[in-house]
Amino acid sequence: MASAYLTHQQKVMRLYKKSLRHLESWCVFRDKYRFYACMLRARFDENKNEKDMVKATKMLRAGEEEFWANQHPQPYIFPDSPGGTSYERYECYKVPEWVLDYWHPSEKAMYPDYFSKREQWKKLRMQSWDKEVAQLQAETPADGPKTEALPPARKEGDLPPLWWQFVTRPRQHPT
Amino acid sequence: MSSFGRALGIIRTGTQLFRGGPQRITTRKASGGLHDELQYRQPPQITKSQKFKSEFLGGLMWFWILWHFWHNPDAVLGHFPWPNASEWTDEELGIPPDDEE
Amino acid sequence: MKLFYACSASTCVVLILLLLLYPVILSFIRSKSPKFEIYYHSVIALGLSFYISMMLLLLSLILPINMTVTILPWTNTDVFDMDISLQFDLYSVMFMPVALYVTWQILEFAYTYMHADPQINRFFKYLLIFMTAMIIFVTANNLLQLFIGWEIMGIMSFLLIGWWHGRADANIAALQAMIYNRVGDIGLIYAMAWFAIIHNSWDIQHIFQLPQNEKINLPLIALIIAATGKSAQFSLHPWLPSAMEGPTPVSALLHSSTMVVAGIFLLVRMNPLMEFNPTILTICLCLGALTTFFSALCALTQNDIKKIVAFSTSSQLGLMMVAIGLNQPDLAFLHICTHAFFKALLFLCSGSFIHSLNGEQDIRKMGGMLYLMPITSSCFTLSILSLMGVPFMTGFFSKDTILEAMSASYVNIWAITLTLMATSFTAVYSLRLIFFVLMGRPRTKPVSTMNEHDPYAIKPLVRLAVASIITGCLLVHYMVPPKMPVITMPPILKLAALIVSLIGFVIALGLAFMANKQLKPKPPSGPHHFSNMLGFFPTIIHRFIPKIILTMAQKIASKMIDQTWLKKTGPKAASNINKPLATTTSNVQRGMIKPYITLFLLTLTIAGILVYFTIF
Repeated sequence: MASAYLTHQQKVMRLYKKSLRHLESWCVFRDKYRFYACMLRARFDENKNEKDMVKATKMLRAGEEEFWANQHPQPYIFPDSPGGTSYERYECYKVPEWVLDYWHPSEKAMYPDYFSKREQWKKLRMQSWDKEVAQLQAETPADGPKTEALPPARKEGDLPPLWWQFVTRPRQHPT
Repeated sequence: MSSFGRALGIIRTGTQLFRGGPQRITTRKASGGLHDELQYRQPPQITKSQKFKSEFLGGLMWFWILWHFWHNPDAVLGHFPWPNASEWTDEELGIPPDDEE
Repeated sequence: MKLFYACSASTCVVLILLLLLYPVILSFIRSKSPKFEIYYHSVIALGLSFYISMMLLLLSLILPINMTVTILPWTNTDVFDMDISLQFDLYSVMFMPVALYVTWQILEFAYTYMHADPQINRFFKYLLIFMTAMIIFVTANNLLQLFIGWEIMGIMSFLLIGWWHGRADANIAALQAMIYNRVGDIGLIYAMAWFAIIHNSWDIQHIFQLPQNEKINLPLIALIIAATGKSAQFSLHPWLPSAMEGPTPVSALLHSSTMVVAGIFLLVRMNPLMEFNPTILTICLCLGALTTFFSALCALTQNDIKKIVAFSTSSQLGLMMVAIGLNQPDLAFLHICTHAFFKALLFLCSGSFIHSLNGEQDIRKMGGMLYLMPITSSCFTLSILSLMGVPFMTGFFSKDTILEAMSASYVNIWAITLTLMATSFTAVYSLRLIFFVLMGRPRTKPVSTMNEHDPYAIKPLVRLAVASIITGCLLVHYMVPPKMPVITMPPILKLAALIVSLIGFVIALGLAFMANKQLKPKPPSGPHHFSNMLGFFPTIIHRFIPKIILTMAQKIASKMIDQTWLKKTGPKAASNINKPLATTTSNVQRGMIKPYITLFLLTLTIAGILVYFTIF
């Protein structure tokens, strides 16, 4: 159940993960990193049974400040993660599928099987659209949806709501 | 126009033959993506020819450096000795000795 | 003889240009067929262009003639004429084969590297248009043609850096490159305007007649600004490391071998103007020394392999600028040619590593490449040793000659110190690269698709490696230096560069052993952060200058205009002027008879005098 506020446990876990990643950026070799990671874990573990929330919050704050002072200016970010070197690299090739409708008929004639199948898919989408909308309207609470997650198909022979966006999403990698 | 294309094709095959090496298929798979088979926790299969080529390149470099060092060390150590003024004797410079005049 | 040379030379250049553009035109004609791959045509075109330019080079070695050929009088007015004219002196004739060879290898490599890209045809087209622009720039005999080549190179750089335009960082980097180059272009345009107005000609041979007569400090400073922008010298440098957002073949071609040397090439071309001008030479020297030191300092702690090589390029560009500042343009030019080989090789090897690790660019996650990709790592080591100036490799002949010339001339000690320290830093970051990328155990992901079976990937590397061993010697033997190089110097000065590199190497080895032990998790923050964040130069400048401009713009747009029209010039102004007048006049006269009568009589007298003077 996620709300707008983070719990103390979540904050501590985030601090721990951040500091491990930055430690990994500092300690390049795996064995040295493992040593310092264990030391860090020990520091977190010795205070894990603190029941006094005031003290715990103060320690968390001190921890965050220590993290800020010791962070790596160029932490290692995985290439496909936000801020990494390959992030959004192929975004320019991710063309939405409705562009296919604008192809010239001579170009469409080069792939007749695909386009005939596409016509069937589009018919299927037209048919199931009303049912999807009805399902969503029935299942959404009165004051707006609580999450972005879409419900699955409830009835037999029905398709999950907003399936077209998912099925026709562009590939991660262009080839 | 098409004859030029044919001529170009001939040049292309010519350069391929000229390059020698394994006659690889010059068209590639349309699916591309991951090239050869994935290896999990294994080093890639290095052929003997690859190892030989890499060692050969290194050997070529060292041969070049040492051969040139043997044949003209001047480039590194200096072409002419820097004259040292204290080594010049009085007689060379024409300075009369102190107990004259 | 001269006519023969002129005809053949201009034919060669025109042929080269047409050959380079032929695949581009072909792709426009054949764009309908989906299977058309521009690769074969472009590689063949480049191969043929290279051989043609080699023929031209051999011809010019046999008949050493400096020649300018006017191909087409384009616009000729009474006072000003602009032609398409080519110049065939040492610089253009020698640089063309170098650039074409390097581009040839890069295009072959780019086929493997960019193979998964759906728009590979467009990529090759851009690279070919860039090469055409470079040839136009290098053979230009008048400033207009130079400018055309310069600008097309800038545009292609923008398009190629932002190749993956879905990525925000790439677009930012492309814009950065464009804007910094623009600032440099202002310098070039200023110089062109100055020459057009004062000397009424854009022809380089005419311009060279100048220095005897006039003071030409201003256009030369403008040219230095142009070189600062294009060649990433100190104040306009941040675009070069950001330009690594583009694909590796782009970095190899544009941002190491050809485009970034365009600024230096311009100064080398314009050297007869600068020969007798000590102010300008000192500016070049100090700027170059600062650049080389600063870039080498920044390269020490970077973690991205391409950024380290980019800073290495920037450092070598500073060294070229130093050579120009020493009044040795031929050494700078020699360094341009030799640097092209080993730097392009360095980038291609890095590209090979990156591609086989599926996009991993961080050296903290690379290791043990020596055993995993032996040929590529051999070539990598070769190019790094060439960069460090190991005796008799390509880099030695140019780099060490520049350092010797520097040590043996009476320039300021500050510039020498900076350059020597930069040389030792070069050794340090080179060793760091080798240590993290090639040695040790692999730190990469356990699933890998590494292999070196692809001949299209290996052959360019091997060819460039052989070139980066041999060409130094070849160039030096066949190029007769017009200016006498310094030959005699005390042995300590001769060996200075080598000693300094060795010291750097040994220190780096020591640091590497310490890194292996890692007694503390992190190094002291001050120097490391300064170096890692690029001296905080981009952090400050990229926020400070736009902030000033935007605040000014905001104040002008929202407050100043309305305020001016309402308060300072409009209705409020009228009231603000009149009210004090009215209150003062009435307050002076309030309720007192004597001042009242005095003022009355005063105004009467003034009116009387005025009447008197108008009537008489």
